[in-house]
Amino acid sequence: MPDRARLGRPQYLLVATGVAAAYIVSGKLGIGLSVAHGVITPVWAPSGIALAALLVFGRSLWPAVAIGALLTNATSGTSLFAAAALACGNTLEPVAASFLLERARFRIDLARIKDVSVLVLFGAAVATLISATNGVAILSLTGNAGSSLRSDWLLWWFGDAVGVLMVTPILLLAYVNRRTRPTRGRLLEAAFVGSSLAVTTGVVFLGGAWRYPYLIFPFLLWAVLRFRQLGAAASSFLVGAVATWGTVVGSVPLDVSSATSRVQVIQALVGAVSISLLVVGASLEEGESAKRRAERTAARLSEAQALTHIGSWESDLVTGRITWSDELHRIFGAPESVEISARWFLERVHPDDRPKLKETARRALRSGRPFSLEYRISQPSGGQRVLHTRGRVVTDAARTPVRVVGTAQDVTEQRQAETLRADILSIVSHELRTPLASILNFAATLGQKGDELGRQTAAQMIDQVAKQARRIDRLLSDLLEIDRLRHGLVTPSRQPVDVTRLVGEVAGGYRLDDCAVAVEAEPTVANVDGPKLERIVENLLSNAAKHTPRGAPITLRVQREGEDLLIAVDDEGPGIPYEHRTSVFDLFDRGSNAMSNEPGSGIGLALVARLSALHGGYAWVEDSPAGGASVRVLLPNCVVSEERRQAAPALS
Amino acid sequence: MVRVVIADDDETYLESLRGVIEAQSGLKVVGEAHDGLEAIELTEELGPDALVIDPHMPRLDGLAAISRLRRDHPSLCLIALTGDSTPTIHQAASDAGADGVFLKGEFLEKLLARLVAVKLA
Repeated sequence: MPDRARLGRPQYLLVATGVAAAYIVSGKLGIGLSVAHGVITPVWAPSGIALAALLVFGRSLWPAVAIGALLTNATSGTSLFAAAALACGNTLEPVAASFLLERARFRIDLARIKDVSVLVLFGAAVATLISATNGVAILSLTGNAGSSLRSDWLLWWFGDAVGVLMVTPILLLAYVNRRTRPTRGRLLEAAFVGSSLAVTTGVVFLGGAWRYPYLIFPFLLWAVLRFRQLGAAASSFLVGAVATWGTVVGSVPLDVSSATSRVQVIQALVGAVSISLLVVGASLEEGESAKRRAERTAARLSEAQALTHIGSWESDLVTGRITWSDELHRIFGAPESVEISARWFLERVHPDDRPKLKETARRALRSGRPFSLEYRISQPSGGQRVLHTRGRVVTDAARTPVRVVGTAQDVTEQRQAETLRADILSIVSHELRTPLASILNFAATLGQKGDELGRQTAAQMIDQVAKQARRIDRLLSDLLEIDRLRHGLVTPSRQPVDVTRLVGEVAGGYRLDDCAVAVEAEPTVANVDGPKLERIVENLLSNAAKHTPRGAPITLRVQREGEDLLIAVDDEGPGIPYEHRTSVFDLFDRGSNAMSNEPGSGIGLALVARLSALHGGYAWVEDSPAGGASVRVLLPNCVVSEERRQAAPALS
Repeated sequence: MVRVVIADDDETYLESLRGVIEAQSGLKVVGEAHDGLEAIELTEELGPDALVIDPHMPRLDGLAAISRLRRDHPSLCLIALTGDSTPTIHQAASDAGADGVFLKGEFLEKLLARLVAVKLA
């Protein structure tokens, strides 16, 4: 039993003492109600207490039951031998019951009809035979038996059984709900139902209205409907107790000859009330838990769909009804309230993909085979997504298609990643291969015609070879650098740098390359990562050079803006259209369109943006005064003021 | 003598290619273009036997230049020379009307043999 409590030694003694005491007190109370021979009573509550105790705390608690039973019997006018013999039966009964229940995988929350059934069968009906048979046998052996053994035996059996039915459920459920903290409203409701039931039951069984026992049923139903098993157990305990009391004191003048028969009638009533209420409660719980399970499953499915961007759909060919999962609504950007129709769906599919989709559906319906295809959709926000759908046709017994079911996955990101990967390969191979091919060409020429070439031409070629090799090296470094930046593996090592000198040196390198770079720099010292700033300036210049007619001037400006450092490179090229002014800083973006064959690798400006960000700054594009583009970088809070500069004259 | 115009946006590469082509007897580079438009203008102006052109170029790109020239000059030997090894660009150049598509740095002998063969054809 999963809910069984584990007891340490001191706890065991405490619980055992409590159980024995409860046994004795309830036993004395029961014997007070006895109708025959001092120890046979209409309701033997100790049976219920003992069974509940063994179910909750385990069968190792049996000595507590044995001692409780022995003391109860011994102090009730039987001999010590008879008391001990009776106690054996009293102990064996709950031990056997809990053993049988455990075998039947009984759960103490009584939430399943099965739990109620096995409690009634093993706990109330079967195990109690032991005590009843043993008890009546002992009484007859010790000469304490009455005139009718059969009647005594029945009374004992029923007494124990009703004890189990009335008392065990309320104790088990009290234990299961021991940590439940009901709200104020629930407490008030419980108090109202409980007191109404108590009053009604009192009026019926003690106040003489015994002809109208059905008056209590609305309250019983209320209790079980609103409070489930706890309500069922508590109210059947209440009704059982009051009814038994009323019967014993004789305020229920049932039209039967003997007190014994009267007790049996009331035992049957109490048993029936208890069993029916518990069964109703259990079936409510089962329905509820099935509903909860279904809801959990649905929630998990929805969550899984959201995580994987897979929606599911179903199209009923008979009714024409189309059902979509929540995720599919999300993928289409449609509110969940929207009524999906084939027409509504097709309107959202990219016009070029509609014929393909219709053809696939037609073929699938004809052949009955599963299908899969990709198509594009437009969302209300204007976005375009790529969906990969898989489906299959469900047919009825006559092989007529009745439904089409399937899934649709949003594969937009995957497709974009694939395109980017292809772009990267194409760009990198092109960018690397051109200088490499130049080197090979020069080498071939030098090898073949080395002697015929003039000394100066040969030297120029060798110089070119070195330059192209450096170009390859720079491209590879940029690629590696941008990868490290992307993964956050780079930290800037800031030092005071003479920016004016640095940009002058970089620009000087470009002048050698036949590129007219004019430098306008204020004398500036800044706390920056020197080599990284060099890469920024180099890439700004090479970007401008790529997009500028040969020989057209490029201006490199360095300005202090308070504490911030501004670097701008203005060219006289075609400029950058507004719509591309953000995307030019994306990796592998080469202007408006990859197939436009714009020059450049799509690495330079991306590197500029990331290196600026590394310094806490940013890069952006404006129109240059001369009509081309002006690519600018702002590195904040890095300019070293005049005074501090003089204080620290050592500069790199 | 086979007269060749070469077109590539990479100045250094043009220079290296000119060296290789001119080292071959029977071949002469008569013009160098830096974009697609210039390639067309030079071809119209100089009437070469062959044009070696990079499909990746600014202004009118190489592919567009190839299909224009193929339309106007059915017998001109048009050779695409690309640094991109992805099959798409090779297919695109063939579709545009190139007589041959070569990868920069590879098949140099084949390219030269092809150019030399222009006069024989």
